[in-house]
Amino acid sequence: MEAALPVSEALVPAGPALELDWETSVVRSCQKGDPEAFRLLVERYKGRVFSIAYSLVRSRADVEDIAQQVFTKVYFGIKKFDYRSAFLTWIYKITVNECYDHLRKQRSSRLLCLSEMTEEEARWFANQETGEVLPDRRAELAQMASLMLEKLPPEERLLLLLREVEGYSIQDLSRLFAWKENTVKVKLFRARQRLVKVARRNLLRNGKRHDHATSRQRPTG
Amino acid sequence: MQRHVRDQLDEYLIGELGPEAEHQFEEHVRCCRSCETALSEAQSARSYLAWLAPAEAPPVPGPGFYLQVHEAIERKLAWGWFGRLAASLRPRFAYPLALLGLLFMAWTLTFETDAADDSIFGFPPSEYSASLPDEADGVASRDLVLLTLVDMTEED
Repeated sequence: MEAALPVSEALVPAGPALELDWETSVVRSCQKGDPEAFRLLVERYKGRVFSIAYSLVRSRADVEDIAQQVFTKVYFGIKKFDYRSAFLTWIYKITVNECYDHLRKQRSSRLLCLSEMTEEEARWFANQETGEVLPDRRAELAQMASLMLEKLPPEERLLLLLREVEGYSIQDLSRLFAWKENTVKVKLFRARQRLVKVARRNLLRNGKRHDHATSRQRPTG
Repeated sequence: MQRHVRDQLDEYLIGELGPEAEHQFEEHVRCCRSCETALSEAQSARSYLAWLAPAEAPPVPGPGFYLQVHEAIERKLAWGWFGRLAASLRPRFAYPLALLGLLFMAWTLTFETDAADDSIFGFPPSEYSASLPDEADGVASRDLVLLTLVDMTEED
């Protein structure tokens, strides 16, 4: 591979259609082994990878390692990319998988966080009363949200993340996944339904655990 | 009753419906149980995921980020085909594969050796006698080895 040169902004077009053309041509060059094309892809998408990884793992130190791992996988797997969806969607899938692999390695501490959630915090979580939560606890609640999201199928998980966290519009998602807008809406509807079921199950379990703990602590007689 | 309004949920949630459409949406939701549930679930899901939106800006990749990626790739390439295979595998597949490999090795160790009575250390006579000059020498050498083994066990 060649050494890095500054990215020419002129090579990055502004409109969605032009952007797709640019993306396709750069990805094709990269699949043929052009190192400059790979560098352009890294420079183009590194910010988005950092952003979504930070939403999920909330650790500045880990985000760079994850992003590095993501682009290494992109480099070794780009020949398998089949253009069925946008290239960015493929990068997002790799990023989200990489983040969950990373979070799984920290699973023990995260389970502790779940079990330590009090009934009051569960209420905050459900009602999004973010103002009353300390920044550290907020980060843990964010981890809990990502843990719940982990229970969803990968496609639904990515769809919800892009819509609700990254703020993509229905039209953007339709373009990214190469689906009709109605299909995006139906899939979003199902994904939200599933997430709510998972969340209710978890919050209910926490509430019961908390009630059980307080009843054991309460003095009798 | 009007048709269901679930396809307008997203526009409603982000306030993209016009005033009239919004009014119609709310009117419908008030009298339709299934659309009311859909709206309430969508609002709950949005509120759970709102925790994922960081209060502060995400970290920005530094100017040397590409070089770091480049070095990571070079390290993997230095491992040859094994490095490429490992890089393309996710840990959830790599660990079970490694475990399967270990189990396979353990299984092969359980094979019973099919040694004949006159074999030495599991080598059949056809193998050890092939390297000897003639049959008489072969028999003599085999006897010598057997005698030595017997002596060793007696000394123990």
